[in-house]
Amino acid sequence: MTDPPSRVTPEQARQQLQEAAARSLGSPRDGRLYAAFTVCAGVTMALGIVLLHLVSVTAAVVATAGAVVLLSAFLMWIGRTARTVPRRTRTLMQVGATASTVVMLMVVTPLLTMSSLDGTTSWPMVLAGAVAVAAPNLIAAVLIERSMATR
Amino acid sequence: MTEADGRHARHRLDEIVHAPVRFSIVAVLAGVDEAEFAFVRDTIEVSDSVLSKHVSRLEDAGYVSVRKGHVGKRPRTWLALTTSGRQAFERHLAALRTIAGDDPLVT
Repeated sequence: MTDPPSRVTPEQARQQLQEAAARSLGSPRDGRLYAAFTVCAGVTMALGIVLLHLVSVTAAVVATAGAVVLLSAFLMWIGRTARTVPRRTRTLMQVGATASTVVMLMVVTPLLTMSSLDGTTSWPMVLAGAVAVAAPNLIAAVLIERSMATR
Repeated sequence: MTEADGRHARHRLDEIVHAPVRFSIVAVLAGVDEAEFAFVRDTIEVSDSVLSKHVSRLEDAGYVSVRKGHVGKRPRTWLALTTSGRQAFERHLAALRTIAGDDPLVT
C-alpha cells in the first residue's frame, strides 16, 4: 500500500523524483530510427533537385517518385518496429519536412528554373540549392538524435 | 515548505498520479509522445491486467489517451499522456521537489 500524499516524507519524495528521472528515458533505438528516416527524407529531396539538373524532368520525377515509395515503406517499417515515439519527434519531423518542402517549392525550384531559362545554371548553384533543401530535415534529425542523447 | 497561499506542498500532490504503478506509467509516458502498451508493461514490470486497470483510472481522469490500432493482423495499443496529464505530472513533480527540500517528516 502507498502512503497517502498527506504522509509523504522528504526521503519518499526524493525516491519518487529519482524514479521519474530513471523512467522517462524512452527508447534511444526508436529515436535513431526516426532520425534516420528524417535524414533519408532530406537526402531524397536534395537528390531530386540534383536529378532535375542531371536528367530530363520526366526521369527526375520518376526517380523521385520511386524514392518516395521507398521512404513510405521505411516509415511503415518504423511504425511496425518502434515501440515508442520519442518526445517531440513527430513535431520535429513535421517541421523539418514542411520547411524543406517550402524551401524547395518557393525558393530553390523557382531560382533554378529561372536560371535554366537564361542558361546561367551552374553546378555550385544546383548543389547549394540541394543543400538548402536538405538542411531543415537534417537539422530536425540532429535535434531528434540530440534530444535522445541528452536524456 | 509552505506555498504563497500558506498551504503545504503536500496539498499539491496529485492523488491519482501518486499511486506507485500510476506514477511509473506517467513517468514513462512523460518521456515520449506515445508508447506501446507492451513497452510500458515491460518497462515498469507489471502484468497486462494491472497495467490495464491503472491505465483505465488514468484515462478516466483525462490524464492518458489510449489509441488502438493494428500492425498487420496483430492488435496494438498505444498510450500517450494528455496535456492535462502532463501538467498534472509536472505539478506533482514540483510538489515532490518542494517536499524533498524539507528536512523534518511531512505528515
